[in-house]
Amino acid sequence: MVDFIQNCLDGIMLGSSYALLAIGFTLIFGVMRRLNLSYGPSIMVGAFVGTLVYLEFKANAVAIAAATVVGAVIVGIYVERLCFRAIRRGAAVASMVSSFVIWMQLEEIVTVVFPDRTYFFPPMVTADPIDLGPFFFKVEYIVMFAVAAVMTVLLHWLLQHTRFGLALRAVSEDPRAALFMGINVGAVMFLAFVIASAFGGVAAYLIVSADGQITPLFGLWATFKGLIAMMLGGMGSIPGAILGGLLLGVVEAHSIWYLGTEYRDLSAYFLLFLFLVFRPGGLMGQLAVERELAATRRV
Amino acid sequence: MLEIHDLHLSYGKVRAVQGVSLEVADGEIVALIGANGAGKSSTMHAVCGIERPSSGHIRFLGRAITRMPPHRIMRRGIVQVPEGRLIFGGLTVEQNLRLGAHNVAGRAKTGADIKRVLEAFPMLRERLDEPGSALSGGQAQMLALARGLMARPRLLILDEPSLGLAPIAALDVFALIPRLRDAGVTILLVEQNVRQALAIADRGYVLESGRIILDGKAAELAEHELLVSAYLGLQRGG
Repeated sequence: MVDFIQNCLDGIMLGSSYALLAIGFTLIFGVMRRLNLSYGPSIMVGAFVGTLVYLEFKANAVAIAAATVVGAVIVGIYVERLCFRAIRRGAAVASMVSSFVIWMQLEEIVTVVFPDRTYFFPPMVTADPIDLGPFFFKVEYIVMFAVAAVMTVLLHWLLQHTRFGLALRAVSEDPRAALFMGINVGAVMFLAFVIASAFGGVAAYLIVSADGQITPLFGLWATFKGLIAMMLGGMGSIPGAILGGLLLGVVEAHSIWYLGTEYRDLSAYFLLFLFLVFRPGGLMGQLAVERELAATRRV
Repeated sequence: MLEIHDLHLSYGKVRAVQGVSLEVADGEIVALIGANGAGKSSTMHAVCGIERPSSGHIRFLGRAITRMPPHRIMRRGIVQVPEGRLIFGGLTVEQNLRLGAHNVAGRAKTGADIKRVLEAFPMLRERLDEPGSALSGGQAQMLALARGLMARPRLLILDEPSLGLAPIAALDVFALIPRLRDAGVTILLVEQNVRQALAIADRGYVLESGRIILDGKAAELAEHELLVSAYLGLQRGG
């Protein structure tokens, strides 16, 4: 029982980083109705910018984290300009394919600039785990969870209590109606992309610094985790992204403990498969679908 | 106030607007009438910057606004209440109103404007926290009008405000329009409901196949044989 609870706690903390990834994914999907496959690779490049800052300047953790986030945002803007802004609305498949092409491009660039493939990534803290009764907590996991919680609260405030947040929700519900409100829809989409990239950058820093290393494969890994967590929660739903991320973390933590590390990713794919078959809308997706129906049914 | 000169607009090979010219003076109610597909909405979308005209000029308050982005045109005072109302069903009535004021600076002003608008639309007051999707057609149209007023328009374009409404709700809408004008808003009314539109308008333009075929004082247009026959034809057609 202690093991089970310990797994759940570890899973929730690990899952909080998946939640950040999924929030980034779902924000872009919610506003653009398009899948950005190069999301993971963009934040991978951000993490390599962090690595570069560390290698060149032996910078401290805060500077490395900042460099990672800034790098992820800049690459995110590049992706937005190239494969979302440049490709017409309605050409959803074209922009998805082009986001895949950019994924390959980003991986190639990183492989050329960083030929050793695996690089050391400095941990954010070096402290012993904290014991609390029969349970113990890794400090980097606690930081991960705390940062994710703060960012989620900030995003909630932004979406619910600011003019920009209301505009963003309007654009994700009906971009055409948003035009009639005098909302600069292109600018809102651009900012949503920037916010999503910043969330991804923070998630990348938290995950990579907890791992202690970075490879170009992190891009693929991050796209998978973010995509799976988003699908579990329901596409376009932010509460869904959080729940999906936490659920994915908990399932992975259990499978690592009971089945072994090699089953971690396999269990994630299996979980996704179960959801796609039995609850394709995800945990929160059903609600969103109903709301959409209600919105289109009015006369 | 608004001058449209020789406007053309195409969707691919479909030429929706073919040389429309019209004017709206400050304080007028001008009706733009015509059958479905005559190019009424396309013309209005060009005015608001939502569609790009292929040629022609649009001026508002003496300044060219042709091909400006919609949010900048709105900031100059042209606000459109779109066909089909386009209420955000997932947002509350109050949030819909706030969105109307997206381009009006200042939170305090928005609060005061909501109060002012609710005085004109008291039925919205008790529904402020309900989702937009819970409103009936007539209520949704009232919300769309109220939301349009939140943007502090100088020229309000109403695109088919009576479409799909029960006759009584449509009457409410038509009763409201002259009151908006009395409050200082110039109105450009796009309608298929010819009789009621001309009854409240000062002047009118009749659009057919992307061209203006008739214009003049509303009272005279209402008597015009071309319109009477077309109107009756429309009625017979359903």
